[in-house]
Amino acid sequence: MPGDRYFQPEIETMPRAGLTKLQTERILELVPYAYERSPFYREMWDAAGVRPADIRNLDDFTQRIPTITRDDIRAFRARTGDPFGGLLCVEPAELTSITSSSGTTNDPEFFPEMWDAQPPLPLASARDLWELGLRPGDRVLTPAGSFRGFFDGLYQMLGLIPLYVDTWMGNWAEVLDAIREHRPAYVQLLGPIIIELERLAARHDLRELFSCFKGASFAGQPLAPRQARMVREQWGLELFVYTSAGDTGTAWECREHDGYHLWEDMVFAEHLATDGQHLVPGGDVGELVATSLDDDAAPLIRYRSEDLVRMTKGPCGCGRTHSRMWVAGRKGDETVVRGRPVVIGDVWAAVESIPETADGLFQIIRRGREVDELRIRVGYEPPGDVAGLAGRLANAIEERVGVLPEILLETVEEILARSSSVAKFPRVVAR
Amino acid sequence: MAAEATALPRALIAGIGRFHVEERVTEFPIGWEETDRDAVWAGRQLARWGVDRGSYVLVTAAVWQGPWVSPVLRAVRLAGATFGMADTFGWDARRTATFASRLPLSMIFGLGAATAEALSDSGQLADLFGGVPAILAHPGAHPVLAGSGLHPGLVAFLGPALAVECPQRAGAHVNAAEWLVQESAGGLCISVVGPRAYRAQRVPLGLPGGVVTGPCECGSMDPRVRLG
Repeated sequence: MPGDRYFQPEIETMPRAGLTKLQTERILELVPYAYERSPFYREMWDAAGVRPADIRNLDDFTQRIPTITRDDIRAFRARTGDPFGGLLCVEPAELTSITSSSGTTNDPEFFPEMWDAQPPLPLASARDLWELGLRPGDRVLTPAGSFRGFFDGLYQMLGLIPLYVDTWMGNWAEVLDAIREHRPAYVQLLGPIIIELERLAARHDLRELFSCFKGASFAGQPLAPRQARMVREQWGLELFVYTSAGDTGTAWECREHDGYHLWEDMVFAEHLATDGQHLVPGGDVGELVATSLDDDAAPLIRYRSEDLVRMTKGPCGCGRTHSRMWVAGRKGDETVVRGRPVVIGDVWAAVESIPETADGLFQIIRRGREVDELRIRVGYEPPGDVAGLAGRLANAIEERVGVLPEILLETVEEILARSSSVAKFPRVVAR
Repeated sequence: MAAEATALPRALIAGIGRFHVEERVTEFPIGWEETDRDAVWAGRQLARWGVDRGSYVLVTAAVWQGPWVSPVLRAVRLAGATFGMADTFGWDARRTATFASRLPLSMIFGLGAATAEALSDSGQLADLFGGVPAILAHPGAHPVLAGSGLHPGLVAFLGPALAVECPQRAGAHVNAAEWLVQESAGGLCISVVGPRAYRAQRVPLGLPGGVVTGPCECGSMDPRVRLG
């Protein structure tokens, strides 16, 4: 039974040896299962000269089974016409649902799902919502996006009452009325919504309105430090940030807010050098490589997520024993301008240091990773001295990154209208 | 995880929905038993379009549309079919296009104007959807789809009620055991006749239209609503 803090106490606080045993057992089942059923894995592993019988422990698994990338799956799909990229381990008619990736930078990729009670992604967040403090009888606002599944069934299963209100940007005056009326305990926020709320703060006492919330989740993009301070300190809202667990699920902050918990009974997480197969020390930045342990439909096995993270297996202050990670960025987001690397975080710090662009809304526009000129589209709050603003921005960015950029100014509303995903605001876009 | 969740006490109601008539917001509580009945009724509507085990049904919807759409998702599952999910935003139309181009869809349910317009602007509509046997679209999407030579069925939210057209395309059926839709001087209005948590009589819907009673050629006795 769920306890005061833990939803599944035995699993969430399982000693490391128990987690390793559980993962080993699951992986030793998974490897032959996938080899026998998935044409993609059979082809990949045959080419690597590895057979399921070669995998007898976790060391064999990490040393013999090749890593895969999203491009490998796309290439298989393009070559064979298989809509699931060869990953499917069951008959298509056995699938319950198909959700898809955010599609921020490419066409969305399918996540085939097979389930009984609730879809896997919402269900996997039950522990995290419990940690946030939600309890039966609480009212919760429904999230804006449906592409990873409807969450209302999970809320109902947890004894919560979903308030079906359109929480996408542009509708928050109505959402605030609903909050005033129903005093919900939880909402999911996204970057564009926080910007809209900042506008509404002039006419509404958000601190009073949000006093009913036990917490709010935030996902989809890094949260700008200024926005985080505003939400937490001015609005009094405790934010629980979550991120992708290498496309195998989600990883959430707990109340300690010290990294994202990877549920290791659901994912086997490795932390590898971006240019190779070797493990990097936990404190260093490496690429999250994920294996889903709870997916019989189309498991990702040693999947290179392109998420650059730091990781630790040390226990958290909350008492949970599962690994935590901190996201440093996305592989491929770095832009090299005439040989000089420019990272998103440095541009961000410069953009939000200017009052008119403090929303931190910007996109690097480029043809490829290596360019001769740095072009940045930046959202500003009108009215303003656009010509002067562009110059100040360019100087601030040059001071941070050592390259004088070309600035393309658009209003915040114009730039948000370019959204190409309900989940993520792309920081790097094709020219 | 599901075992722990199902052991928790269930809330008194399944949720609270809302609908808009012009500027006015009306909320409605949703009871548990009616969600079961709504799923069974939705299943009958899908079956008339041939949805069964092995079918792929793409549902385009927002989560706030759950009071109308969640019963449809349950119905797809009960039929042994597979549903895909896509958002309704125009800028997310690529997701709908991806499903339509990669899978042999039996049905697209809930296609809205924003998605249809985005795909029409890129000239993809007829190619993408021409081979989909059943497209059930919201009223705003119909002119766009018709402009590309497509003939969708109608799906509409009539206040708290779901209306779904059958292949006869003679108006969208409304579950007569739950709702009574009537014509009035100001347009259509709706009353609750089933044992639902929401109780209301003659609520104006702000929609012009007519109601056709009597048996439909599909075999249903549910009345049909024609909008406009």
